[in-house]
Amino acid sequence: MNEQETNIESDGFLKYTLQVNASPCQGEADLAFGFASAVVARGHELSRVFFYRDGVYHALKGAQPADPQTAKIGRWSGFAQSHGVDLVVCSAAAQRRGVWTPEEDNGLARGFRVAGLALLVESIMTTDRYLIFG
Amino acid sequence: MRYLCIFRKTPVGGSGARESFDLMLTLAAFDQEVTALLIDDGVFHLLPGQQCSEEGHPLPALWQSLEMYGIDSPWVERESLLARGMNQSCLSIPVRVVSRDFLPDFFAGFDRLIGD
Repeated sequence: MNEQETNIESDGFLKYTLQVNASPCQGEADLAFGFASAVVARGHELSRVFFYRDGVYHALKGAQPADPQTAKIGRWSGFAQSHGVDLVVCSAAAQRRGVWTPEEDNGLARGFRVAGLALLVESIMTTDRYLIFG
Repeated sequence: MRYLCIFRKTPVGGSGARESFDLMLTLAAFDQEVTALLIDDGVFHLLPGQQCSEEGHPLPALWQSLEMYGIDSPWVERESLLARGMNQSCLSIPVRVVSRDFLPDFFAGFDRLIGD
């Protein structure tokens, strides 16, 4: 996880970009969700969560994690709907892992969409804080 | 903005290394000031003679093409090299060497750190 200082707005609220590299079964995935929830709860702006590397497994529609206590897939869909957060899955990483194919464009879990690394870079360049989980 | 992309893992075993590398190149494509640092097992990226090609696009060759993307020679941590019986002269491309003691100051020279 990385964080670097940039200009802090005078009102103290910051714009965040999160990158999730961890698969839903890794501890860092829980950390990412907890952090995202806290960012929103504190009134900061979470514009986008970018799922990269094994993080793209979050968007696997119909996945049923072993632990029924935490619906690790569905919670992000619900979170995006409640808070208007853009959930983006890296196209190349998702395609490499069979999570998404260009031919079958509706195969992702609700609230997720596919885009390229350029969108992540655009987010990194325009937000105050950029953190990587996993 | 100045970015430091840090590689700490070996280049083999999954597509993770390649994906970290892709992010670095994408930042460079957006005309961002990008620097690479190899530390811990990340120094193995520059071990010559690797045959870890993935999808016909081998990482060793990509490291040799950094200049094409406007990225200067990578930095390598001296202690990581020594601990693995390597030195600057046995690497596949020219590098700059930084010692562990100096890393905090080195990091302070960048706006964002990106781990692999």
